[in-house]
Amino acid sequence: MNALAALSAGGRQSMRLFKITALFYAMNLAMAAVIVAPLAVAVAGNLSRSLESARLFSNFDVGWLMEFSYQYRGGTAVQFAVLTVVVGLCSLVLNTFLAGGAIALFEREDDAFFSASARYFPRLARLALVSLVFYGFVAALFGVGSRLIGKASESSMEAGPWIMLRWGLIGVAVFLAGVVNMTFDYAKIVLVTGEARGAVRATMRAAAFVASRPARTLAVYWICGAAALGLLAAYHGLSEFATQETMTRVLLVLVFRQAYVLFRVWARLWTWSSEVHAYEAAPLPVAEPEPPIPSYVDVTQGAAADPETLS
Amino acid sequence: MHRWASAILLLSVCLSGQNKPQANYSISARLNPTAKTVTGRETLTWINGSQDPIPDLQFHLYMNAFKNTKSTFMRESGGQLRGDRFQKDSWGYIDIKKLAVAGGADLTRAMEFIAPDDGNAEDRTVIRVPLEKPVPPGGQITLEIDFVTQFPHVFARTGYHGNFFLGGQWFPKIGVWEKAGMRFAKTAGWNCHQFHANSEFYADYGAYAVDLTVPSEYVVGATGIQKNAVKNGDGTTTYRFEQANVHDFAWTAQPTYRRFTRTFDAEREVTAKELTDISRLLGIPHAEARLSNVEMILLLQPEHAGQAERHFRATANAIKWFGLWYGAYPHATITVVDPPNGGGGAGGMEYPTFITAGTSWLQGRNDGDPEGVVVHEFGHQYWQGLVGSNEFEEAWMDEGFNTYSTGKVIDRAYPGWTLPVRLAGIPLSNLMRLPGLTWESVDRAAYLSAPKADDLARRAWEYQTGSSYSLNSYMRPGAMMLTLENTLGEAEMAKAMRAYHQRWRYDHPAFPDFIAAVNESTGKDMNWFFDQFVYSSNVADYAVAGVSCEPVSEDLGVFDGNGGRRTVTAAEARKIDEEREKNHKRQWLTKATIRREGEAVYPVDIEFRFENGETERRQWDGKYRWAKFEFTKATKVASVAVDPEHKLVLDANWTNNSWRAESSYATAGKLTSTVLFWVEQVLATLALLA
Repeated sequence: MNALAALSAGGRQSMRLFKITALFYAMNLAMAAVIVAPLAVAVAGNLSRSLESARLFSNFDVGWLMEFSYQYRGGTAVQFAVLTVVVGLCSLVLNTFLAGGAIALFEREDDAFFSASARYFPRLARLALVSLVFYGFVAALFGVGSRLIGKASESSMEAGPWIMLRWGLIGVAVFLAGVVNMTFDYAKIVLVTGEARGAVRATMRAAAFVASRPARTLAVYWICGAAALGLLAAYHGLSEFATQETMTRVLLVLVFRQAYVLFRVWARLWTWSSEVHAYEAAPLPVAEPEPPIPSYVDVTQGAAADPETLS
Repeated sequence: MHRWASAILLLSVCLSGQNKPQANYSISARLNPTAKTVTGRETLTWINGSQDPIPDLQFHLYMNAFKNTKSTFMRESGGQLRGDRFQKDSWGYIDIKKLAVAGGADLTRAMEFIAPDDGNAEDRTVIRVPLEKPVPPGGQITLEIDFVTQFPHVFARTGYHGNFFLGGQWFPKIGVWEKAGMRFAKTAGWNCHQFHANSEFYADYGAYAVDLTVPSEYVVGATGIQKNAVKNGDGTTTYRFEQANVHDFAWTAQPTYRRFTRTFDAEREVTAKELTDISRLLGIPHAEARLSNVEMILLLQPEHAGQAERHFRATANAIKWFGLWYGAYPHATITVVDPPNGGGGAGGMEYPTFITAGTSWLQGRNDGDPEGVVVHEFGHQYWQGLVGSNEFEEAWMDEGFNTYSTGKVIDRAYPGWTLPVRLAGIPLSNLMRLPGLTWESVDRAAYLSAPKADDLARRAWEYQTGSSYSLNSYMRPGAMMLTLENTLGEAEMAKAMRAYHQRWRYDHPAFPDFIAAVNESTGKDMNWFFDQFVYSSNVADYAVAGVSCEPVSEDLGVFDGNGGRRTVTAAEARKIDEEREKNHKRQWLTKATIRREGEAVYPVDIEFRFENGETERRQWDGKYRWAKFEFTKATKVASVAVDPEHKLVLDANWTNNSWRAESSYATAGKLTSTVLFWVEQVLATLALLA
C-alpha cells in the first residue's frame, strides 16, 4: 500500500468512525471551557451592566484590557494561571488516554473504545514521557541554533540574512519535531498491536519502521500536515469575512470557528488512521516475542512446581 | 574653525535676535575608525547672561558614564538601558588633554570631578573648573579644550557598531548657569547634573561650527547644514557643519549609508483648507500659520532603502503638523538616521536637526513603526530642541508633551495603525488582523499598568524604577495632556500649547511656566488640575455606585388642605395607582448614587437616559465622596453615565462609569468566543505531544 492508498483508507476510516473525532473535539472543548469559564464570568460581570459593553462590542480597546487586568491583578491572576496549567496537563493526560482507544479502533474496528483506552493508557503514558526526551532534544537543538544565530547577528550590521537563516532553522526544527511526532505515532501503533510492550522497545521498533520506509511514512505524515495547514489557510482566508458586528454574526463566527477546530481534530485522527494502514500494509518482520507479562502469579501452581517455596 | 568665522557666526546669531546665545562651540574633530576614537579641539565662547560674577565653570563629560561600572549611570542602569545591554570591555570615556582660557591660563590642573546629585566620588561625568578671575555679569570667556573621546560599543544613544558611528554626548559640554529665579531656582548656580540612567539632557543655546574629518569612504550626517566637504589628500575628507540656535551637536558616519534627500515643500504639503482651518482654530492670520521649506535627509541602512518613502512621509507629516500647531520648524534641515542591526542602542534619539529612528528588515503595512518613532523623534525638535526643557529635572515636559503631540499626528496621519508584532522577523499584525489602535488607548493602557507608581513630577533619576520613569515621563503625561485637552476643549488647548511654545522657544521653562501659559491663554485657573494629576500620584475613578427606579405610589395617611382634612387609605392608594397604570400616567422615581472611588478630584458630567429617549445632564464638582441624584418622570431610567465622553482619560476604570437597566452579554459573548477559540487551538497543539 503506497502513501496515497494509506491516506485514502485512513480518510475513509476516520470519517466512518467520526464519533472518535467528535469525542476528541468534545474533550478539547470541555477542557478549554474549564479555562475560559471563570474568565467569561468575570468579563460578563464586568461588562454586562456597563455602557462600555456597547463601545467595546464595535471597537475593542486595549485600554479596557488593561483596566480589566488591573482589577484582577494579584491573587486572582495567579489562580487563573495555575488553573490554566493544571487544565493543560489534564488535557494532555486525557488525550493520551483517548489515543489508545482511537488507535485500537483504527486497527480493529470491533474493539471497545474505552476499554482499549484503559488497556493501553499506562503504556502510552510511558511512551509520552519517553517522547519528551526527543522533543526536548529538538527544542535544545533549536535553542542552541537560535542562540548562535543571535550571537552572530549581534555583530553583523544586517538583519536580513540572519532572519532568513532563522527561518531555515525553524524549518529544520519543525521538520525534526514532525519526524519525532511521526515516529512516536508509529510507536503508539506498535504498542497497540502488541508487537512490543516497553516504551523504549516500541520507540526503537517505530524508528526502524520509519527508517526502512522513509518515503511512505514521511509522505503520509506531511500530506496530513499540509492538509491541516491548508485548512488553517482556508480558515484564515474565510475569517476575513467573519466580522462580528451583530450578535447573530457572533454566533455564526462561533460555529465557524468550532467547525474549524473540529476539522483540525479530525486531521489528527486521519493521520493516525492513515499511519495504522501504512504500518499494517508493510509491517516490519515480527521481532522475537517478548515474554508475556502475567497479570497474576499462580501461587498454587508455582508452589507445586518448586518444592523449595514450601520451605 | 578660524577666529573670524567664529566671530561672524556668533554675530549672526546675536543679530538674529531670536535667542540669547550662551554657549557657542567651534570644534575640529577627527575620527579614527580603527581605534574608535575622536580627537578634537573645542573652542567654547561662553557668555554670562546673568548679573552674577561667576567664579567657576562646570562641564558635562557624558562619555565617562561608560568608563567603568562605578559610574552613577552604570550603577543605576546595571548596564542595561532601553532594551539594550552594555557590551563589556568596550568602555567609553573622554579625556581632557588640555583646558585653557584662550590666550590665558592653563586650567587643566585645576579641573576636579564633582558629583552634585549623589556624591558618588567615582563618577566622572561632571567637572568643575575654578577660574583665576570670575566671568563678570554680561562678560564672556573663551576656552580652548583638547580632548579625546573613546566610543563604547553602541549603548545609550552613542557609540560604534562595526563601521557605524553615532557621535552623541561626545564633547565637553558646559552646564547651564541658572540665575536666581530662572526656572524658579531659589539661588543662582550651575545646573549641571551627572549622567543618569533615566535621564536625557539640558544645555544652553548657541551656535555650533564643527569640522569633522573622517576617511573619505564614509557617508556623514550631522546637526545643521553641511557647508562644505574638503578632500585632504590623505584619504580623509573634512566636512563642515554649522547651525545656530541649538543646544547640542551630534553626527553619524558609516561607509554604506544610503543617502536620500527631498525637500519638504510647504506650499505643496499644506493645503489651503488646512491652513485656513488651523488659522481659524488658533485665531491667527494665514501668514503666521504658514510653514517653511525644509531639506529632509535620510541616512538609511542599505537593507532598509526600500522604506525611504515611509520615512519621508513620516518626516513630512511631522514637519507639517507640528509646524501648523506650534509654529513653523525654523531650521533648514532635518536629518533622519537609521542605525544598523546591532546598533539599536543608538536608535530613537533626538538631537537638534538630527534624529535617529529605527526600523526592521520587514515591516508590516500598518505597523506603527517606523512612522511612530520618526514622528516622535522629530517632535522633540519642538519640546526639547526649540523649547529647551530640562530633561534631568522635568523629563515629562519633553517626553510627555511629545508623546501627546506625537499621538495627535499619528492618529491623524495613520489611522488604524497597529502595534508591530513579529515572529522570526515576520510582521504578523496584518495576518493576525490585530485591531487598530489610537495613541490615547495606548497611553491609557500603559498608565493603567501602574497608576500609583510615582508622582508625575519627579527628577528623572528619582522615580522608583526605570519603568516608572518611562511611564511617568511618556504615557502618563500623554494621558494627562489628553485629559487637559478634553477639559479645555480642542481650540483652547491648541492656543495654549502654541502660546507656551512661542513664549519659550529658545529658552528654558519649568513646569510652573507651562501652568502660567495655560492659565493666561485660557483665562482660567487650572492649578487644581495640575495639583491633581502632576504633583501627586492620586488615581481618578468615578463610578455609578447604585441606581434604583421605583414606581411612585400615592401617599398614604391624613392630609390637611384647603378642602379640609383628607384620609388616603391603602386600598384607595392602590386603586389610584392602578388607575394611573391603566392610563399610562404612572410616575417613576429614579435615584442614582455616583461615587468618587479614587483620590483625585475632577468635575464630572453625569448623563441620565430614559426609556422614552429623554436625557438629563447634571454636573458634579466631584469633590465629596458621593453625590445622589433623583428624577421623577413618567418613564423608567435606561442608563446612567458619569463622564460619558471619557474626558477623564486618567480614570482608572471606565467600565464602572456607567450603568444600564438591561444587561447585555453580547460583548462578553464575543470576547469569550474568541478566547475560547484560541485556548482550543493551544490545547489542540499541546495534544500533539500525547
